[in-house]
Amino acid sequence: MITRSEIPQGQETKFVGLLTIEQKDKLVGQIYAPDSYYNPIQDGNEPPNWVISIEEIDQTVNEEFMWVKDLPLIPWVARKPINPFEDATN
Amino acid sequence: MMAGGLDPVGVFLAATGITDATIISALNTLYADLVTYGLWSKMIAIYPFVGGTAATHKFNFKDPQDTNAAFRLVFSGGWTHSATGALPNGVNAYANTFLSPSQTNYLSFAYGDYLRTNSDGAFAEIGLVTSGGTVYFYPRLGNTLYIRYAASEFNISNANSTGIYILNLINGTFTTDKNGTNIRSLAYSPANISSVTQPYYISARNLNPGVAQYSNREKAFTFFSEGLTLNERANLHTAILAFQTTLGR
Repeated sequence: MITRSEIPQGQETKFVGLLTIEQKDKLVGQIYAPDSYYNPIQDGNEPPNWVISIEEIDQTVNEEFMWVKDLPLIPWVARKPINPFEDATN
Repeated sequence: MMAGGLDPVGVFLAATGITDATIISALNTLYADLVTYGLWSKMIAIYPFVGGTAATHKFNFKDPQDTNAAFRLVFSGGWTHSATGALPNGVNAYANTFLSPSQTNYLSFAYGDYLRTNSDGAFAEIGLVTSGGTVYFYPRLGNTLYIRYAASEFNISNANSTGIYILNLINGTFTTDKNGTNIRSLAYSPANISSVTQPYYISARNLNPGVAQYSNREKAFTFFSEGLTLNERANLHTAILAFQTTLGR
């Protein structure tokens, strides 16, 4: 894990912020900036981590959630892709 | 200024707070073109992505109210908003349009994008999965464009995802245009999705529940409309191109 300032320039989007489940629950449905909502997702590690993107961290201006700027950062590992052609799910 | 209130451009400017003269000029011309071509009344939602922030990009030019009922976008995940458009991060970014098939005529329907990013992958520009039917648009996945609209998928070779796309169903024919050129037309009969109330997402697929196939392509224009004739599609492309040219993007 590294901090935001340690990410080499141009490599920012290859990292995501690591969340605990409690932190994830706090962010769901919340705004990080005007008209922009957090979208915590699970990464492709096993077991999966809950993460948010660098963009959400960098653009957070909501005073209630400034703590996201101190989140540990980990390399982004995409989940195994869902079949892009899958049919109805329900 | 229209009698009894602001003209549509004025209403949009009031909603967004945009004061930039170039953007205002571009919007005035876009609106005039759409009216002249008889397209304004056929539009359901127009997202011109001007102003450079989520607070301006969210508005539907056709009905710029800050409500779900007006199909105002709600952005989730990591987006970068700028003067060139709205760029999702390809990790967890998408936008909810609040527009569902139940609010359109499923047999007369068009969707389009101006995409500024050339990338190859399972990145959906619009998507919705329901028991009533599956809808998706992958502009470039393995150098192939894939479309599905509540019926069988079809595909077209496409080695560059950038450009102005108009996907259109009218009179039982599905047409796909890129940069003003028809690249495929075929007879097409979608399932009746008129009762589907789940919304279309853009820059990802609404899996209902869940989201997948997050896109990494910058959008500089997106629209939903009724089905369009050949001339209407040509005129719409001309109008979008003029709009983008004025904005220098």
